[in-house]
Amino acid sequence: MRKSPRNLTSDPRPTHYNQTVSAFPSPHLLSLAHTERQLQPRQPHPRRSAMSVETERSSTESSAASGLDFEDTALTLTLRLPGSASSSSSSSAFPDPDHKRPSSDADADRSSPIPAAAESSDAPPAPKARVVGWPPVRSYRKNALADVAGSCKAKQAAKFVKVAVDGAPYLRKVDLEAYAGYDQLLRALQDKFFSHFTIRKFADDERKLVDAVNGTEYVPTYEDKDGDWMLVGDVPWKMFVETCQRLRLMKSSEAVNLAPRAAR
Amino acid sequence: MTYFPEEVVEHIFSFLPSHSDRNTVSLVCKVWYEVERLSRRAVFVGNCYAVRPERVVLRFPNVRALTVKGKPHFADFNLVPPDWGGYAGPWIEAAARRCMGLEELRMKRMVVLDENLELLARSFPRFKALVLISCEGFSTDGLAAIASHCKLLRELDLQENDVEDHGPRWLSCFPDSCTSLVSLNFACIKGEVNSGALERLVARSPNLRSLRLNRSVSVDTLSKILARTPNLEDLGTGNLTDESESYLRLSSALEKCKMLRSLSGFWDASPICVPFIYPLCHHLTGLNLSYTPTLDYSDLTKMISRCVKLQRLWVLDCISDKGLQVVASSCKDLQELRVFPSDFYVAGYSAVTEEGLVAISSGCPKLSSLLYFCHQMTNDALMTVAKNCPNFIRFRLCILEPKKPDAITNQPLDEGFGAIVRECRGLRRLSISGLLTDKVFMYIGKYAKQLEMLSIAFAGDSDKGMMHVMNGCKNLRKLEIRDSPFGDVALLGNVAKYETMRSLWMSSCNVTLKGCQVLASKMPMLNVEIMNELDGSSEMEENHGDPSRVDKLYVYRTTAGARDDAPNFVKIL
Repeated sequence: MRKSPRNLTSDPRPTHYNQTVSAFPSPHLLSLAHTERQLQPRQPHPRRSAMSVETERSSTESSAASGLDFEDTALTLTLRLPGSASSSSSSSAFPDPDHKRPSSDADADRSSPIPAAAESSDAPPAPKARVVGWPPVRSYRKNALADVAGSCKAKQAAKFVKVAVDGAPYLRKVDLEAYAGYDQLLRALQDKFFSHFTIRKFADDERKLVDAVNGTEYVPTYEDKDGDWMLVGDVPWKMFVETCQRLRLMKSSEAVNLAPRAAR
Repeated sequence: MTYFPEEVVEHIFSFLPSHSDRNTVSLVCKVWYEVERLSRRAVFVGNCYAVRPERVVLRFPNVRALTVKGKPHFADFNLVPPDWGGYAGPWIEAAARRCMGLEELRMKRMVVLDENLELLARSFPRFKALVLISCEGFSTDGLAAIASHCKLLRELDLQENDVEDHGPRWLSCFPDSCTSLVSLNFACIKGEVNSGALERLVARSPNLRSLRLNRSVSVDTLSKILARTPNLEDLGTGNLTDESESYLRLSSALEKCKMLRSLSGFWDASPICVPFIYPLCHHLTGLNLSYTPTLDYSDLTKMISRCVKLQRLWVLDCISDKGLQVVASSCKDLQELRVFPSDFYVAGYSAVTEEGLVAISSGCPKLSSLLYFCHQMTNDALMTVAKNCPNFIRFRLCILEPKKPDAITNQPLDEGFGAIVRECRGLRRLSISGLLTDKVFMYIGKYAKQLEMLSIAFAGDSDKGMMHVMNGCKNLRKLEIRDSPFGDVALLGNVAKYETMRSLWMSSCNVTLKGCQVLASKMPMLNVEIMNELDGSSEMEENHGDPSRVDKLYVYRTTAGARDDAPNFVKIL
């Protein structure tokens, strides 16, 4: 449970951290907000719809998405699910030999999410015609279960990492795949996971997480694949999602020592 | 008895709770008719097109509780095109004009618009209960109107509706002071709710007994809510996917709810949550795990085996035959069992078979209501089930693969279902599946004298099958048939019967336009609706031999004449 905090607080870590950070050229030493601003032009949202869907799943699962635009999310959900990239391919994958299939059912299928399970490779293709309205299960039930199945499916594609907060007695998890960028991640950390935190904006647009109760400031850091602790925001978001092993919200007082801010 | 003063007659009538008894007394004489209509508090309309709403409110101006049902049952399975009809508007408008005292409205399979809900919210000062089941057409805005204006609202029950979500505002619209809510069910609303607003609402609803949350509500919020509802009897949880810390809080909150008897929800429930439910189990009489494909056989049985008082169990087929054996040995009071398929896309496969059903029947002698989706069935099993549980009122068996014969003998399942109708004399609702010949219908016509609703799919081999049912089942009210070889002869064999029934549905059978026209001309009190969706765009759909064949037929008795809100793909003959 407490492995990562221990790693962090053990002696070699801070030094290592320090070295790692200083071994990099200046851009990654910028404050998070700067980094983000730099990243954004290079980070349009190519996977927007897919990510919104995952966000939805994550919200039901860990309630981690209040900071997101939910209307957008809902809209996207009705259009497409991960794994069902094109509805045309899904209908051709399941040719419906029931020639009587009325247009209404096609409509119903469109408006209901096609469950990811239907597309998964381990689900054998339907051996027979899928008959409209058979088995006689309410469409409401089908859709609800498809949502669950969809979220289970998506869960496999999700990337959960543990989040430690200095001084907090327990770890939480976040799904990095659920967020489109650093900004969303931070907001989620604030909104859902540590509700007493606020994001404080500084004059230069820098953001930190601040504990509203005792005023402690936290700097988000992460452990990469090599076991090095880095400042969150030092690489493009996608690379971050790939390499991040765990997150730690480090007390600012400690982190200042570790991550020189002179470069700013 | 006519010499009694009217007040006395009215008092006597008040001891007649059933609608049919009241209908009967109202036929005795004009005085009784008058007394009955003015004292009628509850009105049930099984088909919204069988009578005009204006007529109903004129006859029963003092109605307090109105129930109206809309689309045919097969609409549940996408067999009725959207926009078919079933509009709530005329009913609510009529009631708003004449029945200001309306307190309760229940609707099933109807199209309810936001403007209807707004009118409802403003028209009935004493309105107390709104129950919508499988309805569509409204959004959370309509619910906001109900919450804002119906200050006396006791029950808001939204079951399996298709609700458009316009955000969580509606939940904050209930009165700021104490609410009268006893029952609140919003499980079908997809969007997020504001946990703070929800907690505040629960906090000012001291009478709350039944609360069913939606999937967006977290374990933490649930724990906080439960701390404020010690008298809760029926709980539908939000999602149960979190880490153990939150379950500890949930567990201690649940422990304080000593009255809890029924649990549902369990959205995305993680196996971790299961042990935290254990302490509750021995009190439970109702358990719905049918939206929980995330729990497997061992999770389910560990929980259910502790539910020794369980009367009603809904579960997915992940429970498997082995799990049903555990149910059979633990839940001796079980009266209702529903086993749903967990995967509709692997055609015809389910983890439960005749074995599980036989086990249940031998362990649960009180079983009277069954819905069972299974992989296979045998005649022997059905005969055993019929012997073990002669008290069935509802018996719905769905073998997932159409026309699947007895899994051992490869014979039709006629004898098995025959045994069911022969042994279960009180049977009122029956759905049959698997390979079936006309013989099964002979048995049904012969024995199922109490049968009120029969669902037939992929069964029978000639008109004779349907004729057996039409001539034999004296109490039949609803008959729905799909993909069965019944044609005009069967349709026209006993046309007078349709006036004693609520409705007949036939889709993908062999009836023709001509047959339907004959029926319509012979029986002017029937609406004969046909739906052929072959308008140009569907030209590519292969013609199935006979161009005059009617794809979908819906017949119902009515005093209202042809409806005027039919879409153009519906033709009323």
